[in-house]
Parts: sequence; structure tokens; C-alpha cells
Amino acid sequence: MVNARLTWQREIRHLFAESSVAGPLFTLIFVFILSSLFVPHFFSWRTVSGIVNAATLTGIVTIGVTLLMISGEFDLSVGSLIAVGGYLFGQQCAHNSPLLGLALAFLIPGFLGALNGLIRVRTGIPSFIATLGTGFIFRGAAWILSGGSMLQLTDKLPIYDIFNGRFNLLDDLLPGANFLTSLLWLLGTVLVFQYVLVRTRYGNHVFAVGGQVEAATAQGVNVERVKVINFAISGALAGFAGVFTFCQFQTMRVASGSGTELTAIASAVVGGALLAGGSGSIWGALIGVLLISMLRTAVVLLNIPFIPADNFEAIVGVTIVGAAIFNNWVRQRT
Amino acid sequence: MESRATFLAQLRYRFADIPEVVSFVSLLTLFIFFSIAAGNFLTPMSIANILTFASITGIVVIGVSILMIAGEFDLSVGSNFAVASYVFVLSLKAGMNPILSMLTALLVSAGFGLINGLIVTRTGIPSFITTLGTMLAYRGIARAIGSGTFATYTGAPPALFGVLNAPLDAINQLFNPASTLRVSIFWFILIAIVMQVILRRTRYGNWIFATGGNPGAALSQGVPTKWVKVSAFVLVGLLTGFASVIQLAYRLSVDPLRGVGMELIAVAACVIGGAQLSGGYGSVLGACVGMLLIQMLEQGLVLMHLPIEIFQAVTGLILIIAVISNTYLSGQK
Amino acid sequence: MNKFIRSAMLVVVCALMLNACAPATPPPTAPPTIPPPTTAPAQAPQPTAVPPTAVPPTVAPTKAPAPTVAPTAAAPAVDPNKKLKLVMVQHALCAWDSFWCVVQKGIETAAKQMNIEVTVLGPDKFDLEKTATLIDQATAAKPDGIGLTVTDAKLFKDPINRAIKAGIPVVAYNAGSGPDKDGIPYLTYIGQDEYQGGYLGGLRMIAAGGKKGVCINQQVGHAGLDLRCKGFVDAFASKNLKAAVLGITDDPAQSQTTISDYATANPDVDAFLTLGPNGANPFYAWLKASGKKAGDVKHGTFDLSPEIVTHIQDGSTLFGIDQQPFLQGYNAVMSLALLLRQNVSPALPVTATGPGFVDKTNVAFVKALAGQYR
Repeated sequence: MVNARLTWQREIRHLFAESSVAGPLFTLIFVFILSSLFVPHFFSWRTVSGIVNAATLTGIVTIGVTLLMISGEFDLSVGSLIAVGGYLFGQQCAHNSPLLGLALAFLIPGFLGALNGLIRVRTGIPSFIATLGTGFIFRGAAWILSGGSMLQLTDKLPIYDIFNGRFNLLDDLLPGANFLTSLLWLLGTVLVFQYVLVRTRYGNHVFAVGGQVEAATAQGVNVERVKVINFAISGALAGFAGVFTFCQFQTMRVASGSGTELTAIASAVVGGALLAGGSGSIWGALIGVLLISMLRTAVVLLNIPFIPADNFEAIVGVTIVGAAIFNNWVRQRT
Repeated sequence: MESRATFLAQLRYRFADIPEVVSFVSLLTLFIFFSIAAGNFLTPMSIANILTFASITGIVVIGVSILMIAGEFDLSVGSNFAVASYVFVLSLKAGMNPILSMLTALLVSAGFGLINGLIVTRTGIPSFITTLGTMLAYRGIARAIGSGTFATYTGAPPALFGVLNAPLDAINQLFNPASTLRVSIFWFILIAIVMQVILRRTRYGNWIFATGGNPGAALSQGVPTKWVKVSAFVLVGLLTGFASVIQLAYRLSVDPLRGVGMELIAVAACVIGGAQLSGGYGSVLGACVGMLLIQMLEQGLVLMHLPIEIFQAVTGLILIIAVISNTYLSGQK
Repeated sequence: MNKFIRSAMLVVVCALMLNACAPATPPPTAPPTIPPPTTAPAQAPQPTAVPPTAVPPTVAPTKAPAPTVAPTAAAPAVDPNKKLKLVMVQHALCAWDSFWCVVQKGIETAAKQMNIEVTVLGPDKFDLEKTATLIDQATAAKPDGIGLTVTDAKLFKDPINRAIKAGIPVVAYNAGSGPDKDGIPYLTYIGQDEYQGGYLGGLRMIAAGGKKGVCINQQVGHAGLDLRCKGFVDAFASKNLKAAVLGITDDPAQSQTTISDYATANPDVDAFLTLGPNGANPFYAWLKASGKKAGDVKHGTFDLSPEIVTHIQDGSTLFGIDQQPFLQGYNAVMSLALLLRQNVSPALPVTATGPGFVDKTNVAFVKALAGQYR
């Protein structure tokens, strides 16, 4: 009898130790159950789909940021790259060539991301500072691209619905659901990058570079190349997020996306990634954005008297600290 | 070729332990540039603008630079700033004595710093993440106590306001347009000198450098690193609160978005001033010069009638160039 | 040591020489003929006014004489070709609030037509303290005139007075209540009466069947926007109905979520007032995503934009309250130019540009101009 109980506990510990995502996943499920029980209007497809939709834009950026964080670097310029990608896409849509816009929205921010990487590896300045500076510069680039004004289109192109339109299949099936097709794109991107991270040699390199740079170099990993590629990916995904933003609002402003960088980093950490690098997962990134989005909605729906509806920020802040502490505790216990 | 190499090496050797050099040179260069290229730059109002508007954030920057030398970040200074102003205004409106109101505000902001420090040292969560979280949490508190709207002090300004941030009208009125010099500049300079002295000439200052540079070695040498870090966080909080109170003495009102973005400007100023992100290296003076540089840039661009949107991009460029120079000169990579 | 000092001096001298050789500021492009500003393009159509059943005490222009500008020279000179440099200080910019793109267009059109150099300054997010700082920085540039938004009269009083005392004429546009109400001796306020706009808008929504309202404010603390919401809430209160204020931000994604959650938590709210394109944009995104039909909720908004006009046409938006942003920007530049060149001062402390209601009956007229000139 005693033996059985011990193995059960050890199993759980094993589970948590194996993956960095177990802790965050547990938190997500726990918060979901709590909210469903105590928050009015929470347990409905309408609310759940709202939570998921709110998470997609940040989620795409967080994937790139997480990948980069695992390799030990930061990217504070993703917010500006969202605007750059959004404008490139939107302007091509205005000329009725959305596919060209899509390509540009990937390539140019990707290139700018690679520039971040090059600055990092060639000059040795910490990526936090380098991307702080380039973030400002890229914002200026977005301003030049925009001609100083906002871009708003009223004609609906079919491509908007492909990326961020009503997810009819699911919405007709589930009563009250309002899922958007961006959900599929987000899931797809998560799957692709998680696969790359854990099943390819490149993924191994990413972990190695973040964890122990000397050991990685000794093993023949081209550290510089890995970092530059990760920066490029982070940039390209930010541009991709710009495409989604434009599809959702058909509007792009020079200031679009600002503030996303810190939210993305926070989501990555809530999802289990280590700031120091070497640990994390793309599933964790997804969990992180979902958790924050869930808490945001829960706070508004709870209608707590002394917390006005627009004050979910504070809850997000507490979550970040709490989740970081919890993840740390789990990591230490296993 | 060889003489150039030795020249560069000499440069590095000479300036390795003067972190402020890049910021001074940059400031001088920019000053000369604007004197020539921008009309009305060398006027009393323009110079006064730069000094006065840099002084408030400058006080915060002083604290942030010390913390950075100790090896930690504080991204919550902006939110802390807002809360301190709200506490100050609301206490005054509730009829509390002005000095007591100020002390309450300082207590709260130092307390927030304490919370930051305790979380970082007790749980081991990196300060970047901790203060990212507290930044949001404190912002929420600012919104909550302000009921999500402005708080304005409408009564007669007490004498304390004059002590904190009176306009130097004796000098200001001499010019046309009247210059904008205020007492906050004196506070800024005073605090900068005091902190630089503490940093460079006291054992506590040594401890700060040691804690940031090599915590392990510091610990083994008997430096109470945890206490040093917590005290640095409290210091940042206190200085932020003081800056906030000073600003309120002039502006008389605070809004829920006050101070947003301050943390990144502070980091930029510190880094331009020679601080290393990894800790253990930097200077209060350099950070102050960095702040003046950023403010000078803004005023200069306005004087040149350039679009304000390029201010950010130019700041970013200067930041990167300054960091590269600093890294190179200090010999770290 | 000597080598170093020499090199440093070389660098400094080179910098000085480079700057001395830098090209001067580009000469004006337009030829110096200044046509007298006749009608501003796209004059206001006849906006339908609400039959005043219960109109609040309006801001009547006071009988006090228009405030005189501080004398700049001994004898007022008339020089129609005088080269002018103006600075506009706004609390928002086209870069992040699309309403201001139309204002900017007005400013730029006037500047081009009248051959004036205009710089537009503003913070990079809604930050009134920063705006106050910018006013001082603009004054240091000693421009010929300053146009600004008096978004918070108490906060801006000190810097504006400094500019006026320095002899720089100041004109307020878009935000403010007039020199008498604000207590600051600027020339005139060019804009609309915010409270009235909110009040009349509220009445319209009640007339269309609204029972419980919410005023969605994306820049809480902006005195003008707060007045709009106050007018709205008062209109509902005058009919014994409830209305509240919801604060959102200028970030559309977050705002959409906030609106969505608020609507879920308050399902009986059926009248939504947004205060500009930055509020309408996430509202429309929420409307589309929530699958509601036009007519389920009543929506009215301030200002116009291409998508707002589209929604007025298809009926999902009852009205857009037009304050004629193009006119505000244009008129601000024009007033300063008239004063500085021809010594003509504005006649009244408040030069109204709105509120004009654009609804289904007259939207066709403005459709082509929305986002550009309206």
C-alpha cells in the first residue's frame, strides 16, 4: 500500500521534472476550473473564444520571443516590427496584391531581426539594450513607411477572413462561440516550432546555446548562426503578427504593437521559460498567453467593486510574479 | 597601422575606469552640433528647459543607475512614480499636513522598492521579471487609488511646494521668453553629488560594485549582498518617490498614465552613461549626463523644426553607438 | 597625451566645419502668392440638429471683448508676404490617433497654401505632462505663433502664459473652452463644445430606443473627452436612465477585449457611445466578432473615419458627431497667419467648428471626404 502511494508521488514529480511545461499547464487548468466555478458568465463558449482570440496576436509574437529566450537572448523590438509588417501588408492590400504583402511582411521584419542578431554577435552588446535601441529605430522606419499617417481600408479582401475571419466550422458547432481562424494559424505555428525545438538538431542547438555557451561551442555548434537565425525568426513572426492585426482591424497605426514586447516576455516566463536561457517550450508560450488572457477576462467579468474594469493590468502583474515564483518552486522541487 | 593600434589601446587603457567618458564626449558633441544647427539653442529658455525637464527623471535615473551597478533592474519606477504622486495629492486633499503627506508618499514608494527587493532576493526570480510584474501591479494600484482618473490639487500651494520645486523667478524673469529654471535642478545636482560620493568613496559604494560585479566573490569576502540589493531597491523607490513629489509640486496634478515609459528612458540614460547591464560597472555622473543628453536631443530637435517622430529613432541610434563605444572602451565583451 | 589632445581637437574642428557647411534649411516650395483664404474645402453640410427638447445651458460666447494679443511691435505692420514659422503642440499625433491625421491635413493644406512653415509636436502616447513640456520647448524655439490644444487648462496654464508673455500669439484648437473659461488669455478656441456634443448624442440614442448606455473613453483625463461622457451620462439621467463610463486605451486589441468583457458582464447595455476613431475601431471589431446584427445595439460616435462612414451608411451606427478636424487645423494656421501678416484678430473667444451630426440623411455628402477632409 505504502509503496503504491510513493510511486504515485514519484510519478508526478517525474512528470513535472520531465517538462518545463507541466507547472504552467497545471496553473492554467487550475485557474480555468476556479474561474468556471466562481466567475459569472465565464463558462461559456462565448467567453472562452474571446479569451483565445485575445491571445492570438500576442501568442504569435511570444513564440518567436520564447525561441529566442531559450537561446539566451531578448528582443524588445518586436513591437515596432509588428507595425512594420502590418504596414507592408496593408499597403499591398490597398494595391490588391495581398500575397506580395504577406511575403514582404515576413521578409523585411525577418531581415531586420537578423540585423538585431548581427549587432548582438558582432559587437557583443547585450540583446536587451541592442533591441531597445533598434526598437526605437524600427519604429522610426514604420513612421517613414506610413508616410506619417494611419492606414485604414474599408474594402474587405478575402485574405482577411483567411487569416482572421470567423471560424465558421467551429462557431456553428458550438453555441455562442466566436472563434477566429487565427486560432488555427496560431496552433499551426506552435506545432511547427515545438517540433523544430524538440525533434530537430537545430532545436538541440538552441537549447545548448542558451544553456551553456562554452559547452555548445566545444561541441561544434555555430553559436552565432543560431542566434542570428533565432532573431530573424522572432522578427518574421512579429511581422506575421502585424498581418493578423491588420486583418482584424483593417487599420494600422505607427504606434501599433507598442508594449507587446514586454507582454510577450512576461508570457514566455509565465509559460516556463527561463530568463537566463536554456529552458522553455513553445507549448509553454501558448499556455502563458492563454493564462494571462484568461485572468484578464476573469477580472473584468468578476466586476470586483474596487478593481475597475480597466485594471486587469494589476492582476496580470501579480500573475507574472506569482507564476514565476511557482514555476521556480516546481523546478527546485523536481 | 601599429601606431593606430597602440593609440586605440592607450585610449582603452586610459578610459577603462572612467565610465563617463563616452557620455561626456557625446554630450559635448551634441551640444556643439545643436549650437550650430539649431536656432535659439543657446538661449536661456532652451538651456533651462533641458536642465529642468531632465531633473525629474534624472533623480529617478540616479537611483536606477546605482541599482544597475548592483546588478539588478527596476522596471517598476514609472508606476511607482504615479502611485507616489497619487498618494501625495490625495493626502493633501484629505487635509493632511504637507510634510506628512510627502513622508507618506515617500514611505509608500520606498515600500514598493522594498517589496521588489524582497521578492528578488528571497525567491531568486530575476529582477527583470519581478519588476515587470510589479510595474503592472503598481500601475493597477495607481489606477485604483485614483479611481482611474486625474487627481488634482486645487488648494493654495503650501510652502513645501516652494521648497520642492519653486520657479527661480528672480532669474527667470530676467529673460524674454522667461526661462523655466526651477528648484528641482538643485535637488537633482545635490542628489547626484551625494550619490556619486557614496558610490565612490564609501564602503557601501564598494559593496554595490562588488555585489554587481561578482556576487560570489563579494559574499565570500563578507559583503552582505542580499542586504545590499534590497537597500538598493529601497533607494530606487525612495528617489522615485521624491522625484514624483517634486514634479507634483509644480504640475499639481497626476493622471493614471503618468510615468509610463520612464523605466526604459532610465535604462537608456544609464547605459549611455557607461553602466553595464551585467552590473559591477557604471557611474551616477555618467547616467546624469546620459539623461541630459536625451533631454538635449529632444529640445534640439524641436528647435530644428524637425518632426518629433524622429526623436525616438535618433535616441535609439545614439543608444546603440554609445553602448558599443562603452563596451569597447571598458574592455568588456 | 599630446597626440590625444591634438586628435580630439581635430575631431572638434572637423565637426564644427561640417556643421558650418551643412545645407541651410530648405527654402519654401510654394511661390509667395498668398490667396486670401476664402472657403475652406468641404464646407460643413447642413448638419441636422436635434430638436432642442432639453438643451443644457450652452456655452454662450461672452460679451467680454476678445482678448488682445501682447503688442509685438510699436506700430502694427502689414506684410502679406512675411515668412512665418509656426509650431503646433497637440496632445495626440496622427501616428497613433487617426483623428489627428485629418487635423494634420488641415494644417498642412493651410501651410502650403499660405506658404508657412509649420511643425507639429506631440507626445508619443497620451501624456499631458509631456505635452506641457513640449509647449515650453516650442516656446524656446521662438516661433512666430503657436497653436495648441488646451487639453487640461490647469496643467497648461503656466507654459501658455509664458509663451504669451514672450509675445508669441497663441491660438487653441480642438480642446479648450475659450480664454475666459480657461482663464488663459489666448486668442480664441477653435473647436466644438464637448459637453453639448455628448448631451445631444445621448438624447439621440435615447430617441432611437436606447435604455442603458455606456460611454467608451479611450483617453480618460482628457478634459474634453471627459466632458463628452459627462454630457452623455447627464442626458440619460435627464430621462431617468442609467449610463456609465468605460475606460479603454488607445491599443485596439486590448480595448476590444475590454469592450467584449464589459458587454458580457453587462448584457443589458444597449447604447454605446465611442469618442473617436480610436474608440470606434475596436468597437466595430468587437461587433463583428460577437456576431451581433446591426440594430441589436445602438451606436453613436464622435468624429468620422472611412469605416465609421461605412457603418453610418449601413445603419449600424446612428451618427458621427463631426467637429470638422480639417477646419480646426486649417483655421488654427489661418488665424495665426491673419494676425501676423494682416493684423486681423479672431472676433470671438470661441470659434465653433461643431458639433455637427452626420447621420444617414447626410452621410452621402461626406462619404468621399471622410478620413481626408472630414
